[in-house]
Amino acid sequence: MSQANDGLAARFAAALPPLEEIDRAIYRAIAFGFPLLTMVIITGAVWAQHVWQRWWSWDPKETASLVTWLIYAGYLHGRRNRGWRGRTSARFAVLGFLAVLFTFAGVNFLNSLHSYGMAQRPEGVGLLEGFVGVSRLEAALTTGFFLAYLLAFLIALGGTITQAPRARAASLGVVGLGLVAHTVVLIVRTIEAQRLTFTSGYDFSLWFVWGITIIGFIVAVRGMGLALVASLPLSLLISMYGYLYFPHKGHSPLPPALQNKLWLHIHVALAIFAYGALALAAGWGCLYLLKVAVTGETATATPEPERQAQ
Amino acid sequence: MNDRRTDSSHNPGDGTVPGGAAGVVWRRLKEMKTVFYLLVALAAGGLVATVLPQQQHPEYYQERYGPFVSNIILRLGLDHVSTATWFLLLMALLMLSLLACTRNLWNIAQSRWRIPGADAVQEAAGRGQTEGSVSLSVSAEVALGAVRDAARKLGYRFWDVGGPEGTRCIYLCRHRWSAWGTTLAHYAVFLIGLGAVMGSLPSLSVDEYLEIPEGHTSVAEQVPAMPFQLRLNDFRIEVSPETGAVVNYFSDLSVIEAEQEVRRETISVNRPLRYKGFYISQSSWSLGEARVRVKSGAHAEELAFPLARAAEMDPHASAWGVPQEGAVAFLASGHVAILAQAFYIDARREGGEVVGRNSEVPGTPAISLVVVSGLPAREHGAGEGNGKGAWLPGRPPVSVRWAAYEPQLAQIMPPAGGGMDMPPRHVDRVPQHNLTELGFLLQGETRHTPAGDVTFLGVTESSGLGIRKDPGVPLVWVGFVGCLLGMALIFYFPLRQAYVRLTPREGRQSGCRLQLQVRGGLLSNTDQDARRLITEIETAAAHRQPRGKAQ
Repeated sequence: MSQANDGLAARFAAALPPLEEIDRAIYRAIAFGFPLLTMVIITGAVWAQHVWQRWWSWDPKETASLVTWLIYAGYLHGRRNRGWRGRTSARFAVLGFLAVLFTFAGVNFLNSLHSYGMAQRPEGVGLLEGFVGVSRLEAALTTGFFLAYLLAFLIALGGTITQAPRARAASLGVVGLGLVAHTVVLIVRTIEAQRLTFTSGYDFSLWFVWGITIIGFIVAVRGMGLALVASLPLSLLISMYGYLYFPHKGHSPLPPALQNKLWLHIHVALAIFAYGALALAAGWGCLYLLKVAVTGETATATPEPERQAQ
Repeated sequence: MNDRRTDSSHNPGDGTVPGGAAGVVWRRLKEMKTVFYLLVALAAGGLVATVLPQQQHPEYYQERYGPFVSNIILRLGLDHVSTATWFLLLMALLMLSLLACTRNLWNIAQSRWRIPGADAVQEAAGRGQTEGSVSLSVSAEVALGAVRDAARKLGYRFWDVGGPEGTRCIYLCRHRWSAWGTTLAHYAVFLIGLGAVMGSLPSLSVDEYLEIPEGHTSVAEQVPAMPFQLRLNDFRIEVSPETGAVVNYFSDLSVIEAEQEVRRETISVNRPLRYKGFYISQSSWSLGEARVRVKSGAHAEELAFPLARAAEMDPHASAWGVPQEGAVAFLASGHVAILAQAFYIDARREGGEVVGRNSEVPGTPAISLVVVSGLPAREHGAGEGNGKGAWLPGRPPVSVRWAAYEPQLAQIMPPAGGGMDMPPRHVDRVPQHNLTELGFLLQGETRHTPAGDVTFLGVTESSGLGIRKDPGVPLVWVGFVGCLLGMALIFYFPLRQAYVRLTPREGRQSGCRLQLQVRGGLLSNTDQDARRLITEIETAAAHRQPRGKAQ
């Protein structure tokens, strides 16, 4: 059994792209997500100044965002000036995304202006009866897209191991269907709430998963099919978090401070794509570390110089 | 990496730095290692501030973490990381480090911005990609035109910088402005940090909270740094009729200078008033007091009962109420006292009964009152032990059972138990016939009592205003814009430079040799770009080749 497992792991690792290519994919995802993360922090600060006349309050979410930003900033400087590549790069991608997850979910356990309410499970509601406050249609669609992502991940993973020629197209098709259902859920919730649903923890987990999946989908369509293997596990993980941690999934009225819709929408929309790109980088980072652990390979190609002078 | 060789921002051998100890410090500040350690230390500090609740009382940490850990927390200032000396020092060092780095980044940006000379292009093209050397069957002059066409097609700007002995050197550049991206982003972060430091200096900034009851004017002592006063003309809360939730808070404010109204404006949560560099924002609200009028013949007197959030009295409650210490008010004569027993922020009458709603939002308020008449007059100046009191036979829902009206004994005993502990000599029973329980009065309702007509006039509200002045904000805004612009240039419009050398082929063969190097860009592959450029040049050269000579 162990040998069979080793064999599967070895076949999977062997089917992964060359380490240099994964390393480059990590860097590209972070280089795309980092400016967006900067914009998330800046728009949040502008919004806070507008609402509370204090652009920075050292609130746990703000501080956690800053720590996340510093991790990625340190990584980009290290890569540019110290030539950090390979395992260092992969570890930073994973570490940075752990900080993102803490910013997203961890601060809910702290006393933060950004803490989301409704985390208490209503009495008498079981673990698998968590669609309190939403219609049957929405519950069915939500379950549907989750299962589609799970299926797409299994197809992509199996296809990589078995080298099945149609696996990539099949996984893209299934995840595409899941994305359609997911988008319909977001539209339905928007129509019900009569606003973009950006304000509760459950809402944001839905958008977060959508952001990760759509970025993974786009990258996979553009050629790197394994982007689905890198991104979908995180989509599934965060879906489960949203489902379990926020049992009441209905809409609640916006508190006055959240009614400044323009900045709220810009701030959260940027966060969706920033977190999506950084999640993809972390997924690539995990695949890189897995490949190194299983095959014992190390990157050999000379990295491309990224700072030039005349 | 050639960047390490050429990046003088982290080169300790920079000749422009001062000598001695200052020079050593300056060089250390410019080192990447220093920047990295500073970032790690600041991130660690930030992490502590995220996980550990900030700005709490020392007792909070002692209760939660025990004496040893709380002692460490308090000694290291971990309870207020963002204003701790060590954290501010780290910030200042990072700012200095940024300044040291950006000084050299400016020089690098300048060198990237400049159009290189023929020698530099010739040398760079010679060190180009493996794929960057091809033979063309057209003359160098024709190839020059082909390079121009290819550059135009791929979005490069074109400079023919000449060259020695028939050689043509060409410099191509895309997104030339991006040469300044890194410098701009670093200067911008420096500005943000500077703005943050300015905003955190108490001598420059103001961050106060001011509570003004309706109809009142603030006094200078409340916010000494504010060179004007504020009058709250009116306060109202907008409630959604569908959900009953608060939609917004509005304060009608007048700015008073030299006892004159100089400006009047209504502010709300997202619409602050800005005056003389101060932001006055709607921060919170509270109920002030419940007002009751007692009218006996032509004489009328108003009594006030302070109100507080019930949570302040009972952590498990969430509505508003009358705190015990303010629940008794006496008419001027001292013979009549009125006790406020209970308060509803929103109530209605259903079949003669008043039904209150447990709400945070004011609606029609109601207050439950007991009138106590026939009290002996207060004895001022009486010594200890001579206090007079009133014993009120308590029965549910009467919550206030005992009132003492000597100042030193002015307290209300809790509903059960505690009242019995009072020394008997302080307590005089009030005869039952002197008590008139009015029950709940809705706002505007009147009851006739032996002491006169008692009318519940309503409640006054207070507006909680944030008073802030942060002179660092403009710098922060400029920094934000610069940071975004710089990052967009670095990551989304990366500088791309191509160095091309065309050398006429020697011997009988006509044509020329093209050497090329593509540099720069963070996200795209320079090898790919070199190949694409060469393909386009070859295609353009084939089009430009005189007819009959195509090969």
